[in-house]
Amino acid sequence: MNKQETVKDDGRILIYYTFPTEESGSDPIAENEEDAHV
Amino acid sequence: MSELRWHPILEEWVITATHRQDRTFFPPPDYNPLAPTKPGGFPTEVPASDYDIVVFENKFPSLQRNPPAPAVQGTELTPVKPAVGVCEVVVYTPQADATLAELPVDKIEHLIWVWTDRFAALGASPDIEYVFIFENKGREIGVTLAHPHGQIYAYPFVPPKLQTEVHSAKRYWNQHNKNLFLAVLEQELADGRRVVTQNDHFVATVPFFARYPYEVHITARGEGKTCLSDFTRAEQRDLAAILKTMLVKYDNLFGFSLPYIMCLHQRPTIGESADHPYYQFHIEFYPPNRTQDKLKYLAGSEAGAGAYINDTLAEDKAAELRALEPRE
Repeated sequence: MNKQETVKDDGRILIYYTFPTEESGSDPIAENEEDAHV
Repeated sequence: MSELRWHPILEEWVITATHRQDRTFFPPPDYNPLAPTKPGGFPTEVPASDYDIVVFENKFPSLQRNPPAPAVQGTELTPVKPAVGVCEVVVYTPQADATLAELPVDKIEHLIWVWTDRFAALGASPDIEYVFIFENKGREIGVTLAHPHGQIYAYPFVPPKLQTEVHSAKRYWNQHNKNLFLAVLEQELADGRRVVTQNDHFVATVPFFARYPYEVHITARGEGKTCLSDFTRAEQRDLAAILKTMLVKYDNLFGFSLPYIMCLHQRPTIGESADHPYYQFHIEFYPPNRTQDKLKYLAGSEAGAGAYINDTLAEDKAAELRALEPRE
């Protein structure tokens, strides 16, 4: 899973999540490992 | 105007959000704010010509990262606080006329990954105590945008219903050294009459204590499954699969896309309960239909006294849902 975070003109956060097929089978939340146990 | 007002009699916060009166109400298809922005077309909330899943902060939020100062002064009896928090919109697909039930299991699994990411990201804030993921579906529920989407509210407090669940579960754990949700699930599985469908990691039931005729709870099996972050890849896959099964059964119930409220119940993200195993991840569905053409309204007993009256038996409704395609 890829995540692209942007900020809209009015300051609100907007995040695009994409799911390339070649990533099938990888750990989808690896990028958030540090936050995994909030 | 937006603020938290304390209700000292019920001991709960009430959120005021007067700006929400102006939110978009069933726009025509060419002005769908959740659609991709097409070249030369109406600029929607998503400035891209296509997307998989997109999340953005609500334009009309009940809670805000930097809320305005309260419009009124509180008192010792009725304190007032800024409505700090986050309200996000999760758009499931660029396809405006789709529903979650119609998405393939792979896409539902992707949505679970996104939910997991948002739970972790929002729950990491010290201002946030509870991350609530939900979907309101259908005009009957009060939805104002038909495009398939859900919402996430990150509250600065644990909401009352969740607080009650946490307290009950903690008390049961202290008395029995056992997870309350799993004790209930064990009873449901032993009885069997209220089980709708199940797989290796999740069980869907019309619970013994259902308050709506077609209320369904999907509960994670096994200890230590307190929130989305606790799931393995296989569990995420099974959650997507049972969601798909349940949603298709709902749509096959009366031959139309069934309205519902879908709520993900997870442990709070702050405090002692954030590290404690007495809580159990589950999803609750409340469809408003009690028959094909009759709705259940929350009237005097429910709204005024908090005492629900279910006109049906959970055992009968579970059997009805179990018999529908897709079956196990």
